[in-house]
Amino acid sequence: MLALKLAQREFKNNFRYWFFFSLNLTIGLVGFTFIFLFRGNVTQSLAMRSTQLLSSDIAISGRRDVSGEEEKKVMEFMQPLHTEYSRLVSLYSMGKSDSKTRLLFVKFIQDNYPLIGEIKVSSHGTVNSKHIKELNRNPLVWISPEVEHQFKLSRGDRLKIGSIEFKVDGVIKEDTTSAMRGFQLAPKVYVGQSFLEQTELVSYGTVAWRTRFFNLKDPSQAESIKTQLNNIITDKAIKVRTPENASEQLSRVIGYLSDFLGLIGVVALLMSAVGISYLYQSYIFERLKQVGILKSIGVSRSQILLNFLIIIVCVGILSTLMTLGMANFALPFATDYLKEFFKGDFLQGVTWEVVGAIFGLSLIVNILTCFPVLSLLLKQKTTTLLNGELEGSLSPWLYLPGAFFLWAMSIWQAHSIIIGSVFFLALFVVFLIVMTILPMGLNRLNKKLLGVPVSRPVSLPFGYSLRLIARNKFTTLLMVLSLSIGVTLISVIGQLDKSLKTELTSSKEPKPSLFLFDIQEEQVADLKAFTKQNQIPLREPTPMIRARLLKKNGEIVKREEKKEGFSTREEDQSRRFNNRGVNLSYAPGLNASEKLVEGRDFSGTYSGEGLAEVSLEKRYAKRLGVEVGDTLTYEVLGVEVQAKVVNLRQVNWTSFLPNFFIVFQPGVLENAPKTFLAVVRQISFETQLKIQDLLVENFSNISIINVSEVIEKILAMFKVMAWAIGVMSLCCIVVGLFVLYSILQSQLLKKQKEMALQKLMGFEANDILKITLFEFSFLSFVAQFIGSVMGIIVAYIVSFLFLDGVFVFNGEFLIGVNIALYLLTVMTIFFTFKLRYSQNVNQLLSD
Amino acid sequence: MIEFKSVSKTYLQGIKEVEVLKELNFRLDKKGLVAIVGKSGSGKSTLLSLLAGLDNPTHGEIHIDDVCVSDLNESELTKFRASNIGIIFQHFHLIENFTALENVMLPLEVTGVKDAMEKAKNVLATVGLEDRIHHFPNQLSGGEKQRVAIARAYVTNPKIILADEPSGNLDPETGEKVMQTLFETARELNQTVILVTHDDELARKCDSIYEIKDHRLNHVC
Ligand SMILES: Nc1ncnc2c1ncn2[C@@H]1O[C@H](COP(=O)(O)OP(=O)(O)OP(=O)(O)O)[C@@H](O)[C@H]1O
Ligand SMILES: [Mg+2]
Repeated sequence: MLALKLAQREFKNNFRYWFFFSLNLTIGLVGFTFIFLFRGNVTQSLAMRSTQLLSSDIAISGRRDVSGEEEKKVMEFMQPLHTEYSRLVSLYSMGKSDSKTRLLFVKFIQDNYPLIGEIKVSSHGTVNSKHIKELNRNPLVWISPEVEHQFKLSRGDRLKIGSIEFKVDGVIKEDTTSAMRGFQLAPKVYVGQSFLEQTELVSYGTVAWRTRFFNLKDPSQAESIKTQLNNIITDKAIKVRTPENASEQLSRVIGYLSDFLGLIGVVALLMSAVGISYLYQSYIFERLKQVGILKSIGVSRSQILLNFLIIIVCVGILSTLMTLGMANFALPFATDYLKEFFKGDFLQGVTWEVVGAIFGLSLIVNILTCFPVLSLLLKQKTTTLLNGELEGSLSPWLYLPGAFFLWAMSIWQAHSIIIGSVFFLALFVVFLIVMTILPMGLNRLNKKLLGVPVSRPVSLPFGYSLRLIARNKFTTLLMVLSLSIGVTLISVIGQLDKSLKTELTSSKEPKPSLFLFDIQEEQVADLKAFTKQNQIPLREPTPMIRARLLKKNGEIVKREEKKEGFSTREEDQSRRFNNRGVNLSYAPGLNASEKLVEGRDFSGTYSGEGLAEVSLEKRYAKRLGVEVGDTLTYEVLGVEVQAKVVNLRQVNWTSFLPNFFIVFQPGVLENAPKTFLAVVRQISFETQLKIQDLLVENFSNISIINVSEVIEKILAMFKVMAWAIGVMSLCCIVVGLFVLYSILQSQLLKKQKEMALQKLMGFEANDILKITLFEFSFLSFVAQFIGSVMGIIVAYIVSFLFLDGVFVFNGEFLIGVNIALYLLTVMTIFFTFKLRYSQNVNQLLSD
Repeated sequence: MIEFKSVSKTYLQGIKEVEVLKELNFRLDKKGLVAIVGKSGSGKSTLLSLLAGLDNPTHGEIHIDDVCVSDLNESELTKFRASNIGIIFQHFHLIENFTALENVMLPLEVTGVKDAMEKAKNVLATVGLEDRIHHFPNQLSGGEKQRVAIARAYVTNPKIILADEPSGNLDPETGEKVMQTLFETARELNQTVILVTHDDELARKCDSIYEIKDHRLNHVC
């Protein structure tokens, strides 16, 4: 078959070219595959951590147990769906030792607990079912380090809970179930559930929380099972929870991360598409004569088309093989390096399906990027081809399938039509700018240069390169287009990377260790004096007033929507307490963790006339559908308070300070009944316990929660996420730079004949180098300018949609990446020049 | 003075060696017009390439006046050519993105000659292209391209002109006219012209004729 023979010859004669071509595609595919698998692993491992926090796939909990008819229905429904099951009863109770009495959080556990996650106890290590059986057989108790310290207990000592005396069996060293499940008022202890009755606690009317945990056969069904369970259980006091809402803000961030990683993957793939599309177009341009000759000796169009298709398929196979080879080579390293992330083997991700997907992807990318030029080529008249020319221009419509594919990919990977579309639109704008404005400029330049000595303007090398730029329109446009799309993509990643990392990185401020609440108004002064005297780093207490939202712009509000994002225990509590209940606070201005994003500051203390001024948290306002200027009416203990929204705040919730969604100006709520919240800043574990003791002795009604453990866990997870983003961004940028390098390199190789002629004209080495430097600097500058500006715009829009408007401009990246790109250009030129210049004219002319 | 001292040239084609010139000795003292003839593939273009320093001989030395061309490095060669040699190629080798005028003007501008544009225009006029000066090579016919190439070779007033079948692409009438200008200018400026041609009549108009045969150069008359 002729087409096959032609293709075979093509490969034989131009093996290096096609190898390079495949390498380009491979780099993109490897980037995409790696990011794809990595993303799966990261999100999985993060999701796993969040299921650990819930300690099962699904949990049903409430102040009372599901009982009678409902229980039967629930258990019947769950029977075929679950693999493991466990129940937990937890309650607050006083614990007594020989010398002390303190409030404890008692968890009565059963076999299998926790279904997901683990507990480590000093005497046993990681707890297994044998240990729990033992706990249910004998009156033993595992205590937290706080209990150990407060009661001064050691193994074998006695601790009385309710009517039973338990023997201390060990100290809890690690407990994955503790974080995020609401803050606990008191230090916890674990005892066997079989002793619940004997403690007689429940029968005395102590409020207990009862939870049924299930591990599902198919964890991905959790959400739909939850909905069905919610239909079975009519009592709204009983909640069905899945890991997703075990920690809402965590899953929100995991979502961002996953989407962002997906986008990076698409970008890597796109970069390589830009690269091969460039290489392919310049290849076709070089082969025009050859195709013309083939046609003139009677080779049919379909044969020529077939020939090209065979080449494309071969390149696809070659790239797939190289991708797999590289994956085989590189992934074990990656797995090694990322050990803490991947519980299993990374390579397990590379299944036959993945191989098929890679091959399919490489073919699609190949065909879609090569199709436009190919179709233009096939339309040409033989004589035009023989002259080495192309008539007519590339119709942008031909790029439509490719564009559509790109669009679909971005939507798929970003999980968002808007973000995918923004990406797509941005690249389209780059395309338009390069294809319309630039040619106009080049034409004008060209007209100005006609009939002017080559040594003008400026100097001979400059004038020379200016002519090349203006007249080599096809090359100039193609190169600027490819480079600027590349730079756009790289900049988007670089800019978003910083924004996302900022979202994940906590403020420098010391984190709180203790949360104090239920502080009565009359206690505030005493507490302040006391903490000062004892040198406890207490932050100024924040007032909190219970209220109900009545009206929004005069209209009655039905019910408050469930909020997402970081919510404090108080807000959770108030949500449980009253659906429309909200917590108000007042302050003269913003605190250190808040930033004004819209509107103006408070005008000062309320004068008593007109509407009071209120500031809302941005996301809260968005959910409530309220903007600056709207009015809200609250009911505070029977009194209606009308307020006008004067500004929206953004809260850095990684500061973990007490932040309120609704803050009034001073002078409005001072007389309302209220309690205060306060935090004690980062202090050592020892000091925490000491302070806790002191506070409990002197202010017995104040509740204290120790939040340092929870905060540390969250921060550690964020750190890992930020790191993952950094690694992936870098990966993508490396792919980008490689593609840009190969574009430059191929362009420079074509300069070979030009160099021979320049030598013939008598140009010295320096001048030839200068000409090339000028020309490429110009192309590179234009592309870098367009790309950087577009990149920042896209990053801004995406972060506006993605990150609720947190955009952090990354100036260092902008400068750094542009310098790197320019250095890359210059170095590639020098390298290629050195290689070429020593060859004699005939060598340069041949080939 | 042009001298070849036992010059050999072999091309490597894959692993096969193709011997084109073998132990070639040749000395030309007088200025004037020299024709080189020979069968296709005998090595005429190769000989010119070696002389112009476009390619290196496999063995031997080539001297032009007191310069050993085969010893110069690339950048010395470039300089030497710029001021001593004008080349007219079989395949023109014009710079595609430059107009006829710019192509002719460039060698002057490189050496920093004043009035480069005026001079270039004059030379283009002598080859009959005054109304084509702003055309790009792909807008010119084969013959027009060849005339631009000739103008480019002449514009710097070199001591030696190397011409590889300059009239091969022209119709007899134009060819004759172009060659006429070439010969007249050469005589007028006392240049040495080495002309590769298949055209016996043209060869006979030269002062001496050499033929390449069996890898060697033989004086014919
Ligand atoms: N770069 C090269 N590599 C290998 N072989 C070459 C190369 N250039 C020329 N040859 C071979 O050297 C021989 C001489 O070539 P050359 O171009 O000098 O011939 P010519 O006498 O000018 O022919 P014509 O009259 O057809 O132009 C030919 O056989 C050619 O195939
Ligand atoms: Mg020849």
